[in-house]
Amino acid sequence: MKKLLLSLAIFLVYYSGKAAERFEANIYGDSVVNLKSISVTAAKQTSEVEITSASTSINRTDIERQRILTAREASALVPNLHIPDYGSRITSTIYVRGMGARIDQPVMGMVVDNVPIINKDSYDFDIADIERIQVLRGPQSTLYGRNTMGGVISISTLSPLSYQGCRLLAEYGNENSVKASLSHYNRPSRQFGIGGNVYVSHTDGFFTNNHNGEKADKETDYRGMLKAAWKPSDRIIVENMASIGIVRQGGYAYEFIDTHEINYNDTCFYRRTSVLDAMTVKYQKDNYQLTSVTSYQMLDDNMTLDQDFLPMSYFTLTQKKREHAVTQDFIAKSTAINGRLRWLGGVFGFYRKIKMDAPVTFLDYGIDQLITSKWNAMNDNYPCQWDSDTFILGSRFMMPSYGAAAYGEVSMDFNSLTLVGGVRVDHEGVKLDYNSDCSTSYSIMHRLPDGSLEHFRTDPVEIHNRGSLKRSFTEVLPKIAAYYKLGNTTVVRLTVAKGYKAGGFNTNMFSDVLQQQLMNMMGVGHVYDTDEVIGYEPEKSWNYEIGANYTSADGTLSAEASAFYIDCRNQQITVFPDGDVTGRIMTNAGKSRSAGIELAATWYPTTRLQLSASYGYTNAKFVKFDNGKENYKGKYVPYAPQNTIFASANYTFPISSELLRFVSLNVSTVGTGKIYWNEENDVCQPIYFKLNASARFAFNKFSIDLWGKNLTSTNYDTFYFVSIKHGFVQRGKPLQCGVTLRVTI
Amino acid sequence: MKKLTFLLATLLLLIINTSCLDNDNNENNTYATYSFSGYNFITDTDGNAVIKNATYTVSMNITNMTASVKVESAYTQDGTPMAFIFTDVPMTVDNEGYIIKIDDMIPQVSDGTASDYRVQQLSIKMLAYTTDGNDAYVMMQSSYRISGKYDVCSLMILPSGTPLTYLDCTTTTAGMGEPFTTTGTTYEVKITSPTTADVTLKDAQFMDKMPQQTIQLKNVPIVATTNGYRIEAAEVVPCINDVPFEKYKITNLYLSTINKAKSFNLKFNCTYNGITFKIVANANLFPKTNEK
Repeated sequence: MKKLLLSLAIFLVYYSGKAAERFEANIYGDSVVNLKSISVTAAKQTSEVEITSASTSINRTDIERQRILTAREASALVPNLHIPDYGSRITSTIYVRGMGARIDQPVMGMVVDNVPIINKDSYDFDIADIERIQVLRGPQSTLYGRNTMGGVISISTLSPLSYQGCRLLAEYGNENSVKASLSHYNRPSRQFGIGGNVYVSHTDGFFTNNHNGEKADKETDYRGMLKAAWKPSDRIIVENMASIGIVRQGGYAYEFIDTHEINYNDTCFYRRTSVLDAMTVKYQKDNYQLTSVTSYQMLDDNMTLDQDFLPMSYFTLTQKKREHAVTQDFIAKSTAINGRLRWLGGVFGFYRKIKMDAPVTFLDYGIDQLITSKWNAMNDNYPCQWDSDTFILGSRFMMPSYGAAAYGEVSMDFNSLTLVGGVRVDHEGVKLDYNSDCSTSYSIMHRLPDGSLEHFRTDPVEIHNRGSLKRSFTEVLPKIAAYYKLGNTTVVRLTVAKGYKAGGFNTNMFSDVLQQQLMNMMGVGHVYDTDEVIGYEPEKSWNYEIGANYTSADGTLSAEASAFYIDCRNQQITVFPDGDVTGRIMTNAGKSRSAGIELAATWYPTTRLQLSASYGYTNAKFVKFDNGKENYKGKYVPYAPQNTIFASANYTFPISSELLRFVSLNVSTVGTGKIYWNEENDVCQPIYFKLNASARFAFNKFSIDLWGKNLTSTNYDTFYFVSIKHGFVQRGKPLQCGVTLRVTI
Repeated sequence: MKKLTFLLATLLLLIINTSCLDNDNNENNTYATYSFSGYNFITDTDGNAVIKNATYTVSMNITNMTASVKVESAYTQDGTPMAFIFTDVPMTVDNEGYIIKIDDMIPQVSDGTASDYRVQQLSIKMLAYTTDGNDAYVMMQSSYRISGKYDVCSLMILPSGTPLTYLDCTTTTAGMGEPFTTTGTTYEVKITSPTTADVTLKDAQFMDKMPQQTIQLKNVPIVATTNGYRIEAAEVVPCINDVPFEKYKITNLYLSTINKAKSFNLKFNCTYNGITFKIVANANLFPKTNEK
């Protein structure tokens, strides 16, 4: 495998295809200056200007310069957006402006080529051939609906109708990290284009599991994509995109804070296969456009964990999931250029069904530490012995859910002032059928005066729970906005919008429900109310934002500033309950508020020099959060960073050579923090900075980048949690460096 | 225990009934008959107290709002059993259930002859309730005086043998640091014989972060009082899941009911690791408000 990847990495492919549009090696890169040259492909925008919330656009040059292949990597450039690397592709945790949650419903939606990705577990995947990433911050619920209360990450990939050619990427970095990508886009006729990409990556990993001496975070990914576009007439475009992604990954590299070691003895891995097929049909009439976006999404994954992350045999978890989902969006929007009135409306629906099998296997040490030793500490005259070394708490779930929505937005110009109003009515229903089983037994012994033990009695443990829970939610999601153009350089905007994150059921907590039930059968512990523990309510917010965008007349300077205030009700947060449990509860905090600012700028003081920077500050606190044991009013919302910083400088040296065209040097820094790790705010990650740099040697048809990330090998934690009273951290990756070859023909 | 509304109580009583027709097979009348077995708490004016087995058979004519009651028990120290029969007694309803009241009456005995005993201030109340919102029970509360000398009260639940479950409880533990108070602990009292009872503390918790436990105090002595009963023991070895826990021996256990056994006050001590914890609790069968 390694030989194949290495060969691919250094193998040059020469293709003589048809002459094609070429991406200009623009030493400026793409910026707001050139933004107008990029066609508006987002189906839910009527114009590039009419973005009524803070937004960040990342063009292809910056994507390549910063080596961005995932939304997580793009987040470093976006103020107040934090998508940390928690060590597994299943955990795509997004925090934006103080909002977010580790599990279940995300705070931001992800859209790839106008297709909403339904399951957050699929958010973290590599995409080659990204044309642009646009991050809209602030509630986008009016147009995008569920789980976009923090914003939307919109990823656009190359279309064969607008790009033709062959692209190769081959990369090698430390820890045997290799990436290879081969794409070909062709337009055999004016009406038809077809393109495809195959991608593979592998890393041996950066963190060692001291128990077996192997890397804990090794990973191999494959992805294939096929895109076909057909223009039967000038008015109709039909585009189909099909992709398949395969992830094979090791387990979490969690370090035990007491020993500063990653050391666990049971199997850990994550495997995922995801399939996406989406068809977009656009019909362009004189003054309006109709779009239909239909998708089918399949996710099949298996997460198996040594759930205690220790060398002792407490318990293991396997979570196997298979999901099928279909989405349908019908969108109509005005496209008249000179009209004062613009409108957009649509209807959206989805159906998904998840089948999950999630057994927890209690092992001998876990049985002893969590069950029998507690009993024996209370009663050494009648000690307890388990009748087997292991037992299984089995849980199977079926979760169908559906949603339907209607939405609309209207903009009206009054000279330099534009008013925007929109509303969405969204209804969603979710059901959970659960089926839990446990069959085991234990024996109570009686200690005689001479110290010997005689059998007192044997108690069987038979738990067979069947049940069904249902919830449904209906929301009205309004938005009003105004923006005012000050000359040709400045736009000032004001937005008030409601955000919404769906409620549902957190199945991660089920093993704890069963464990408590088992303990209760022994006479200890309180039985959890299943619906109360695993169910959670929707999260709602009102977002107030004021901002401004500036572009200098000569296009060399663009800047954006925003200030926001978010009033959040029933914020969904993840808490780790007291006691010897491992699961996390999704609970609703009473009320929280978040306020902050965002600044971003790009400046070209000369044609050779580009300076970019972004800064986000968030002050997010609980206004009301009393869980019956503690009152967290006034505490900072955990896991969300208070500051996000990005700064980049890029200088280009033109070379007078037939072979070598230019050399481009880039240095950038990413800062994140302070992050509190719990509601008590007594554990935190202080602010930290990572230094990155790259040098690009651009030739006629290819370029070679030498790059380094976290050059000072800053030590930092991306995550901290407590499980069965043990604290763990996920370390950030140390120094990474390598070389990347890109060929474009 | 939560009392159900009158309408639900009526429905429940009718569902649980054992006969629908009267002896004349009159299909126009609706009947319900219940037979409760349990204990009478009996005190006399001389200060004597005794707990006796008792059976109450209540036949209600819901249509005519009358009832017949047969009480079988023993009221004197010598234990002579007797049966009182009250026939066609008027019945009323309130928002909790059915009430049978007699100010002053000489009942019949089982063979139809008048007895030698005068029964005064008889009150029998039938109500439906639930402890967990799922399973429903029928409770009978009775109180009366016999011949001006014997005061009798009882609380019985169908099905027979169902313990009294006190849901509205406050338990405070003192002994280490700030006293710890919880309303999550509930109490069950099951009278197992005229002289013994089992007391179960459900979801017992005596300090913060202590896992809740179900603690059984078995075969503790019980006596009748004018207000129900009293449970008292110098020492009790508690059980969890029927396994004795000698390390947590309870001392000076004292439980005394008020309000005809519908409420109680409780106190006991427990010495563990050299620290003596003092626990006090008050408990009510029903919450003070209708919704809890």
